[in-house]
Parts: sequence; C-alpha cells; structure tokens
Amino acid sequence: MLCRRRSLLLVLLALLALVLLPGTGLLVQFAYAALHRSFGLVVDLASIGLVLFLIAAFLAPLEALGWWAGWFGEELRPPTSVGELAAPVSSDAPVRRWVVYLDGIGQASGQALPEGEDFLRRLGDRLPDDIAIIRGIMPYSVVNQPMTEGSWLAQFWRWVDWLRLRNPRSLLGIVINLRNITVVGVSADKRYGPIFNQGTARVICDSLVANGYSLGSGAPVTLLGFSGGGQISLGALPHLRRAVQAPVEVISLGGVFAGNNQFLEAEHLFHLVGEKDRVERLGPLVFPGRWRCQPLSYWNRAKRRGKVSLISLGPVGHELPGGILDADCLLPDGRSSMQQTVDRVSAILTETKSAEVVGPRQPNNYQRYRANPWHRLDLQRDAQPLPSPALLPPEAWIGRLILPAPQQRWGGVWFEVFHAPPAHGDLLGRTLRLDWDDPRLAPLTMDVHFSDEALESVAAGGVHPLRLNHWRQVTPLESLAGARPADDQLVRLPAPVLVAQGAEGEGEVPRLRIGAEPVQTTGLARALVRFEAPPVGPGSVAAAQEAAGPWRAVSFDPKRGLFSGPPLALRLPPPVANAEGILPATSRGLERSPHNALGWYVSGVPDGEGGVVVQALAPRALQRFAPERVITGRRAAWDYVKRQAWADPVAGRLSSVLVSGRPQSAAEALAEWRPGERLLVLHVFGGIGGEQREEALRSGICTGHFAYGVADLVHEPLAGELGVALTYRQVYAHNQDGIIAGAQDRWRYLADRQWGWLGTRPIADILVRFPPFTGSYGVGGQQRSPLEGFERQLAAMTARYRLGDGTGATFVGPANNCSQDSNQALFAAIQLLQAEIHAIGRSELRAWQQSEPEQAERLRQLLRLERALRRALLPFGGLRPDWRRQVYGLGSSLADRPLQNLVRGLGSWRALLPRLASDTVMKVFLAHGASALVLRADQVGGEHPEIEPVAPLTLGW
Amino acid sequence: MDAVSVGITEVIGRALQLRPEAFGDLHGELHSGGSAARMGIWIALLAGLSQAIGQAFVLFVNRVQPLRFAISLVIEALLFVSGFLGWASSTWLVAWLVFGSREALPALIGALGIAHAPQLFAFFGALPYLGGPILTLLSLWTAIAFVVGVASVADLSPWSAFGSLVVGWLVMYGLQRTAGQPVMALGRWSLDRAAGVPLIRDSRRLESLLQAGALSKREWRR
Repeated sequence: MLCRRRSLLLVLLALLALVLLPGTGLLVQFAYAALHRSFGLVVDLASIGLVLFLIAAFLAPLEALGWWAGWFGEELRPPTSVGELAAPVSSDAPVRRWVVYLDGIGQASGQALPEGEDFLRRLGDRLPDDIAIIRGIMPYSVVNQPMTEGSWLAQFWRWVDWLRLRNPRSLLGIVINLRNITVVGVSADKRYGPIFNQGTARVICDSLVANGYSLGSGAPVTLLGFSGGGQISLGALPHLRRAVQAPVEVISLGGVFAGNNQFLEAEHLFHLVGEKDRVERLGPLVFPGRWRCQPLSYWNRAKRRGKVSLISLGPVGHELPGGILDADCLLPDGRSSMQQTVDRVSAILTETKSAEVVGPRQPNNYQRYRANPWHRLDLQRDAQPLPSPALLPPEAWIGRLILPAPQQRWGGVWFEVFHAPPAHGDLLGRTLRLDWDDPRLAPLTMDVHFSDEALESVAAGGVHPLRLNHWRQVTPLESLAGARPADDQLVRLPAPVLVAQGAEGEGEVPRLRIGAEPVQTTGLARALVRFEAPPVGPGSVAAAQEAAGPWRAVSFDPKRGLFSGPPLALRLPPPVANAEGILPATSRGLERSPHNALGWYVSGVPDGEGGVVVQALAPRALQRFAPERVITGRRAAWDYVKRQAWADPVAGRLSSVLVSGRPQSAAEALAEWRPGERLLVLHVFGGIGGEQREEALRSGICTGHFAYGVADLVHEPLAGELGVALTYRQVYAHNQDGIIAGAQDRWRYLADRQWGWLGTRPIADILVRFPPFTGSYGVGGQQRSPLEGFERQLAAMTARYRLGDGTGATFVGPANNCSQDSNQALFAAIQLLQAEIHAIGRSELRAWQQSEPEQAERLRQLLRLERALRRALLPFGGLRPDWRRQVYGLGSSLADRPLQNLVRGLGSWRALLPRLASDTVMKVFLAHGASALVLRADQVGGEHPEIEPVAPLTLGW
Repeated sequence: MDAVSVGITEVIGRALQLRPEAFGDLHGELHSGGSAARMGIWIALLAGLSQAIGQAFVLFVNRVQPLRFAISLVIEALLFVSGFLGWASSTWLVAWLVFGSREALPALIGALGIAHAPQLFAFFGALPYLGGPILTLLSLWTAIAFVVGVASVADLSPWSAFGSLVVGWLVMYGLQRTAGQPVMALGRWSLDRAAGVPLIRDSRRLESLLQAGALSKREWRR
C-alpha cells in the first residue's frame, strides 16, 4: 500500500513539476515544435489519434453506465446473439464442464478473430464431448452488442474489420484494439468495473443457459480469455459465480488484467504466457495491484494462496505472427504455437483433479482420542441396565447423531437412542429420525464448498465437516452431525421432544422433533462418590491403573448427607495423550485429593463387568451453589473478579465465591439465589504451562478462550442440595481436537476425561444473576426473555461457525473469534428484544408499563445495561458496522481483507482478549447491580505435576 | 461581459501556469466593476460543471434518467459555485481579521475562482482507470493555485494565504454543520429533486447499492 502511494506520489510530483517548474512548458513547446518540424504529419496524426483515444476512453463507460441506469430500455432490445456451441456435445451424458471463450481486444464482430475461431475448432476436436465450449460472445459490450452491429458507427467498424481481416497489419485495425482497450480499462476501473462486470457476467450466464446449462446444477464453468478477454473473464468471475452457484475457473491466454480482480473467488487461475509476449507484460506494469511491492493486493494474495498457476509457453509472442494462436509459428519441439496452446488448454480442462484431501498428514488429537475404547460410543455396552442403584439415569433423550447418506437427506439426521425416557423405553437402541423445527433456522441453511484454505487446514490436521463438502442446503442439524469424519457425538435432546410415528414410505421409523439445539454431552448415568482406594492388582498402582482396573468408591446418601450409600466399582481408564504428550486427565492420588472429602460427580456408562466407566469427572464443589465467601459492594466485587480470582493459579485449587455489585449483607445476597433461576455464564480458560508447556504458549502470551453459556439453579437429587447445571454455547473455530461449535454441557466440555479441559486448564465460570437480563417479560401477549434470545443468537452463530459460512472452515482473527463473535451475539440479542418490544405499539406498551411496573423498571435497567455494554465493548462503534447492523460475515480467514479485519477487531478491542472480554462484561453487570457466582478451578482431578496452570492475559485499566 | 470572455482564455492559461501575474493583472485591470469576481464565478461554474461530469457515474449508479441527469449536472455546478462563494467569503474574513489583509471581497472571489482553472479538466476524471490519478493531480494543482492566487491578490505570504484558506475552510465546515444546515439540506433537496431519486453519494452505500442491484437469477433468465 505504502509502495503504491509512493509510486503514485512520484508520478504526480513529476507531472506537477512539468506544470510548475519554470521553463518546462517552454521545453515541451520546443520539443513539440522540433518533432513537428521533423515528422510533421506523423506528429499531427499521433496527436489526433491521442485526442480520439481520449474521446473513445471518455465514452467507453457510457454503454455500461447507460445499461445500468436503464437508459437504453434494455427489455426492448434483446441481445442479437447469445453465443453458440463451438462443437456439438453428447446428448447421452450430462455436460461435465462448460467453457466460455472470450476473445482478445481485436474482436469487433460477433465472431472471434480467425485465429481465435481456428483455436476453438481445434480445441473442440480435442476435448471429449461432455465438455461444452461456447463461442460468439462479444466480451467488450455489456449488452453483447458487436461493434459491427446496431450502433450508428457499425458501418465504420464493419469497414475497419474488413480491412483488418484482409490485412492483419492494417494500421486501422489498431483502432479496434484501442477502442477495446478502453473497455478493458472500464472493467478494471473501481467505479465502472462493478457495473460493467455484472453486465458481462449476465451476458455469459444468459449464454450458458441458452446453450443448455442448468442453473443450480453446480456444473463447473471455465472462462477462457485471450488477451483483454482475461480481464473481462476475471471481472465477471465473482458475479458469474454468484449467478450460477457453481465453481468458476479462469484460463488466461496472455491475459492483460488488473490486480484488483477477485482472484480469490476463482476455483483457479491458469495464466499461460509466452516469453516474447510484450502485450501481456503491460498488465504487471500498468496495474499497481500486480506489483510485487503490494503484498496485500488480491493478485499477490491469490498467488500466495496457490490460486494462480503461471504457465510458460516458451518462445511465443502475443498476437500474430508468432503469437499464442499462430498455427504457422513452429516451436523447437516441432509443434506449432497454436498446437501447443490447444494441448495445454485441453490438458487443463480434462485433468481430473487429484482426490480431495481426505485426512490430515499426521494424526491429529481427534484421531488420537478416538483410539481410546472407553470413550468411544458403543450401544451394546453403554445402553446396558445400570449396575448400581447409586447411579442416576438421565431424564432426557440421549443418543448418537448419525449423518444421513447424501441420497437419503431430508434436512434432519438419524438419532441412535442410547437412553430414552421411561415412557419410550421401547425405542432404546433404535435409530430414529430427528428433526429440529425452527423457522428461524432457514437463513442458516447453506451450501458447502470447501475453500482451498479449508482443505489445507484439513491436511494440516484440522477437523472440518469434510463429509458435507459440495452438499447443498446443509441444515444446522446436519452440520452438527457431520462436523467430524465419524458419527461419534453423543447428544442430549433439550425438552420438549415430540415423538411422532414415521410417515408411510419411511419404513415407519418414528420421528423425534425438537425446538432447540441438541446439547453435546458425555456419559449416560451419574453418581456422587468418594474415592476410597485405587485399583489393586498385581504390580504397582500405576500398572493397575494402566490396566484400567476399577477403583473402590462409595456413593453419597442424600438423605443422611453422608458418603454411606452403596459402594461402586469405578473404572478410570487412562486417557490418550494429545499430540504434545499432555494427558487430558489423570487419576493419580484422587483418594488423597482435598476435593475427595466433599466428593466427585461422575458421569459414565456401564463397563459390562458390573462396574462403571467414568467418562467425566467433576468435583462436587464446582457443581453446587455453596459459595465459600460472599463479597458485596461494587468495588470489592469488581476487585475480586478482576484481580483476586485469577491471582497465582495453583494446580488442583478450586474456589467458589459469590460477588454482588450492590451493598448488601451476605445473607441477603445468598437469599436471592433460588432454585429454578436461569443464569448467564461467562466462561474463560487459560493455558497449560509447566514442564509440558503447550505449544500455544511458546510466544509467552496466553490468550485463552471465552464462551457464554446458560446455567440453571436446580435441586440436585444426588446431593440433596442446590446445584448448578451448565450448558456452554461454544463459539469455537475448527480445531485439531474435534471440538464442535455449539451447545455443550459441562460433562462434555470440561469434565470429560478424554475430551474436556478441567484436568489440564485453569478455568473460570462466572454465573451471573441479573433479572433484567436473566428474567423474562410478559409483553405483547408473549413471554420474552433476553437470555433465551441470546441462546438463539449463539445457536445461530455456532451453526455458522460449524460450516465456516459454507467454506468449510472458520479461522480465528482479530475481528472474528470466540470472544468477538460471542459478544456480537449478545448485542444482537438485546437489540432484537428492543426491536420486538418497540414493534408492539406505543399505546399497548404504555398500558403494559402501567400494569407491570416491576417489569417496566427491569426493561429500563436492561436498556441502561445495553448502553453501558455498547460503550465498553464498542468504544469506536463506527469501526464495527457488522455489529451495529447485525450483518454477519465470518471473514473466513485473516487473509481475506486483513486490514479491515484488524481495524474491525480494534473497533471492539476489549472483546479481542477472552479474559478482558469477560472482565469488561462483568464490570458492566456489577455496575448495574448484578450478583455472580465465580467458580474457579485450576487443573482439577488427579495429580498432574508435569503441568501448571497459566492465567489468560488481560489488561488493566 | 465581452471584456471578460475575451480575456478569459488568457487568464485561464496563466492561472494554469500558476503565474502570480494572472491574479495580479486582475488586481489592476479587472478589479473595478467587479469583473474579477464575475470572471472567477464563471470559471468556478465551468469547473463545477466539469467536476460534475467527471463524477457523473454517481448519477448513473443512482439510475438518474437522461433529462434529469443533465439538470442534475447543472444543479451540481450551481451548488459548487455557491459553496465556493461561501468558502471565499470565510477565507476573506479570515484574511482580513487574522492576517490583516485589506483586499475587497470581490477581488478574492475573482482570484479564488480563477484558481479553479485546473478543475476545468476535472471531466477527465471520468476516464476509465486513469480518472482517479488525474483527479488527484488536479486537486494538488488547484490547491497550489489557491495559495498562489490568494497570496498575490491579498498581498499575503504563501503561509498566511495557506492559513487563511484552511481556517476559512474550517469556518465554512463548521457553519455547514451548524447554522448552515438548512442551506445544506436545501442543496441536497434540490439535487434529489432534480435527480428524481434520493441520491446516494456515500461510497459505502453506493457499493451496497451496486451489490443489491445485481440481478437475481430469475431476472437474469428473463
């Protein structure tokens, strides 16, 4: 950018100097007079030529602009030709690929130049008949109007064309070239380009359809552009791609094109250039976007991302004689230049791309973890009757999501029932249809075509929804089921679940209908236990643990409030280490752990031998509402959240503190928290340090991760006390661990001994109680809850994350990441509620305010909160139009619009860092009188001296 | 009027060369009778028209129809002149109050108007691809002409002239945003009225208009 500005400045200064410096005018006059004396007529003719060229250039955009503005009454004048097939195609098989030829700047009529037509004939003969070539498009007219037809100058152009065809070296032929060069300039112009290119894309699309292309068929299109046709092809590319909804690639034959075309949208660009081609060299010279010193131009970025193949044609020029399409110019290998071009182009067109990347080059964490048999889903083992009365079966439907085969799709997915409520016990073990009915999901249903970056990420070990590649209209439920290469995600279905008998023709498979996103979970039965003794067996304890023998444990009796319930045999198999050798959890010394006295919640499945496999383990202290301290008052509460909560994390430590932003007694603060309340959750995790420090901390900075969630304050039957049940809404970019963006309960996300983070990372879960946000409003004859609206927004955001908005990958950048996008959803939820309430009508609203003063006051508090959040998170609101207007654009990757991405990220800089985002939001909530349960845990579980907790970075202010 | 039209090409030529005597001559010969101001206004009007042509693509994007298109160009030129007059007046005020210039307002209007001479080529801004750099060059050229013009006609040093111009512009900008809002609104209203559509001029909104205007598939097939 800097270089471009500098160059521009230099040129401008030179021109200014020409004007300003004393004597330069005289010098120019003198030079002109001298030239005129020596080459009088030539100089006059050149001057006239320049003036004519300027006039032509001045008028060149008019056609496109007039077309756009509707000046020509376009509907009355259909294009004279829509192009035709250069060679007949097979009527038996569908056309595999469509090629559209756009000729060079020499084209004046509806036909390409003779050499171009010859080239198309030869290419047609060479290609199989399931590849169609379309010829006869006039690329230099936005309405496909050849210069030789229609306009008042047609007669003149016909004469020039005739002269030029008779003698290719005719000087007048240059006039056609010059006129068309100005059109190439229009296509490359930032102002006119979008209009002109839309017009040519329309012409191409019309031509494709008229020749048998079926829109929506997804058949790929190749634009084959010679010379200036290269620019026209690349200009039309993004618009055409949007219109045909299919991949579009470009083959440029000595193309002259600007560097600001949307190269990144091309499937690929093949740029064929001869070594003696002087015309093509104009492109890299006159278009600044092609200069090397502009690393951020589309051209240079596309080159870096492997979108462009530069192919040398050897000692070949541009036009005749000796050009790319010269049938008489012989090359050292005996072929003519024309023959070589036909060979190269047909090779590109018939090449079958090597099979798409099907997996990572090296095993990723997901593949490693799948090797653990105890954490793999196994209906036969998992759905057995529970071996002990100490185990509590779930209340909800639990099962495995199975992605339907492409030919079976109906928008839903299969659901293999691992657990059914007692009323539907007969459906246990069956595979049912599962549908997620919510009309608001429609905009989240999208086609999936993996970008090159996504495929590259797959090869580098990322877990992406590869099975969905090239699927049309993928639903959020399908993206959940197809998020990983295998159907291995256990989910809990949120109530209510409607059970309907399958329709005729569906083999009477019952159908489950849900209204909200399934929650990813781990384990089928839960218990509250205290570990008594590790496995015993021959050899050392470690060896016994290695053999996954059962621990002796005793369950809790809620009636007596003691660990005096039935004993349990618990299997805690060692998990598989990740690629860095870090174990996700250990069971070492659990019986000695300070948390053992209070006990542990375990979630798991029967092991088939009378015991239970503990798949998830969480200390009771983390699962209950029993704060060890209560801090009230805004300043003290904030100081705890900001400084004390994360001060000096120590492995194995756990704390539970209630903070309140209001000056009140501890008893008053505690009394407000009643069963049945819904709470907003702010979750942050930190890094893994110590001897086995994780790679991500190599830079020395731990950014961590942020997520929102929802918690319910419930009566916990296993403990007979008030407990918290958390569901996170993980806005999680694609990753090596196979973590799927979406709703995950704590069993899965934190406590899972193979896939969770509790054993390895320091975490904070802040459960916020703030009735204006967490409560509901009965207004307009309907209950509205900001928290529920927020959940829906997050469900939408995570659905988009799973598919990368159709590109197959979501990457983390300054503007789009877990923290930024979660907070964008928060804004969207509050704004939506505001809009809904304002839409009710003034008089009704006033009546409501009078009849429900408490709710009206809460609403006012909510609006104050929104304003404060906006001030805190969007100090430079103008920089985040995407938040304000609720326009979503994941940006897919940092490489796409990097500067804009950075600026937008800075526009909401407090949401850039996960912990800072959490701090910022908490500060606002506390300032508005919220209270919160701050749960902190540092690498809780078995002993794990190889790692140490690292607090995530925040900034003080 | 005749006297003005006879001399105008020569004055423009000198102004283009940034020769101070272009403005100095005026001081001597054309000052009386307000001819300088008249000539300046004519040049500014033509420059405004040229600029309007150079940026006419905005009218096209807004789908303004031919007759209204022509009227819009004229209105834009007139608005340009009125803006110019406002700026010249505020510059004159600043030059008088801050820098102690004793030159009369018509002379300054004349000088600033003539300094618009490079903008007579602003229609070249419509040239595809080359338009942008040409407009930048013309802007630089014109800016220098302003300084030379004000310096020579108001007997100020180049820095004082530059200061008067910048502060004058700031004063006018402030007025536009405050007391002058009704006038600005009137200008916008008259442009919208002439164009027949509420004109979108903001580049971001223009871009979205272009995107939204992309015809849907169904329309394409029609």
